[in-house]
Amino acid sequence: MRENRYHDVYRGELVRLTAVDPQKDAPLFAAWQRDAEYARLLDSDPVRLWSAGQNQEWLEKQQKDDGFDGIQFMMRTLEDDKAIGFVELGGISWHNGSGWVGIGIGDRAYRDKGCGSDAMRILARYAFEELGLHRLNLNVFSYNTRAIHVYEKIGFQVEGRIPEALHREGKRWDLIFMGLLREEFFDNLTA
Amino acid sequence: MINRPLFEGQTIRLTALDAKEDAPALAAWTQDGRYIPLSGDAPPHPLSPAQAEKALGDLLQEADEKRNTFWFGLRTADESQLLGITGIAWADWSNGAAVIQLSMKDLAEYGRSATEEALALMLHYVFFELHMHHLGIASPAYNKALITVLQKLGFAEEVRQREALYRFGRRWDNLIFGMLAADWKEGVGDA
Repeated sequence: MRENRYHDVYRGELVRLTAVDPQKDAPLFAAWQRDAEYARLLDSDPVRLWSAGQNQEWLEKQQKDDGFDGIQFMMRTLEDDKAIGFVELGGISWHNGSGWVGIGIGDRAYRDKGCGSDAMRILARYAFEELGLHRLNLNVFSYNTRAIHVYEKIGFQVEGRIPEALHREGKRWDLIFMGLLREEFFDNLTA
Repeated sequence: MINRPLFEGQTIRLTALDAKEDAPALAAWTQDGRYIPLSGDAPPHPLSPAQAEKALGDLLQEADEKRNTFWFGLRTADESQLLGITGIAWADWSNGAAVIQLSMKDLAEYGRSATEEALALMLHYVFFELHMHHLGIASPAYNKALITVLQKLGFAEEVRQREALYRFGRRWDNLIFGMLAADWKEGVGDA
């Protein structure tokens, strides 16, 4: 199942996960948010714009989390250490052994290249091997077929959908719930 | 005509909550280890009257500031007893989706008419006052009495998060029930 006993859990085959540097990375987040497609895949709230300064404040606030109920990582390419997106684990519920994952690839040149699957696999491994969680949750919008495919590849299963819970461009879309149990993730890795 | 009472069931009333006055009741409910909090995935713990007052105060302050949550005290018709707390935990205005929560004073109360009457009032409030498109409500799989009422009122099981909850020494599924406005029949649940 695991190739070596003490592997670097933050490192995948195409990307690695690093700490967010709020000051340095905030301008990237601000630039990515101006891509409406990116923003509409990330959040069901009405898309809006934040300055680099506002992004920095928000990222700093995330890092002040004393109780550790979540963590954000930058996604960087192994090839040239370029920051291309982020992943996050939020809403960790320790007694339930669960958390919510999220991912965004801001740099368009790196979509559909396997970086998202790689980063999500690293994040899931961190959640299960280091934090000892039992399951991961995620929400994905029914128009985000690319992401659904990635999640299924990792082992996530569709656990249901809220019909017509999203309203965008005059059309209604479903909010899909997916879940990944710890044993499913590891079975999927070895399969 | 717009004269249908919004807050009156046959045997119950939905009323404002008062953090100070209602704190002793909430504190008393939480001394029973079987009590299910508003957010069904929160770990149970008993609250002192002061802690209960703060919990209610925080809830009401957030409702006042954010304007996307609404809370009601569910009382007997003579308003002498608080039977539960219900409300809208998230009004997603741009998408027209609402999530409601309901926490009754003890397990037996979910099987009594107060629960069904309160949910019928919430359906009416969400669809005819907030004009939402979809209403969702989560229930732990172990709250069989609540699930029975939801099914009776016409809610459909839309999501089943497998093994998402840990309580009473084992893992349980978390169920999300929902109803579209188009599937709601006015007057359902009315006595």
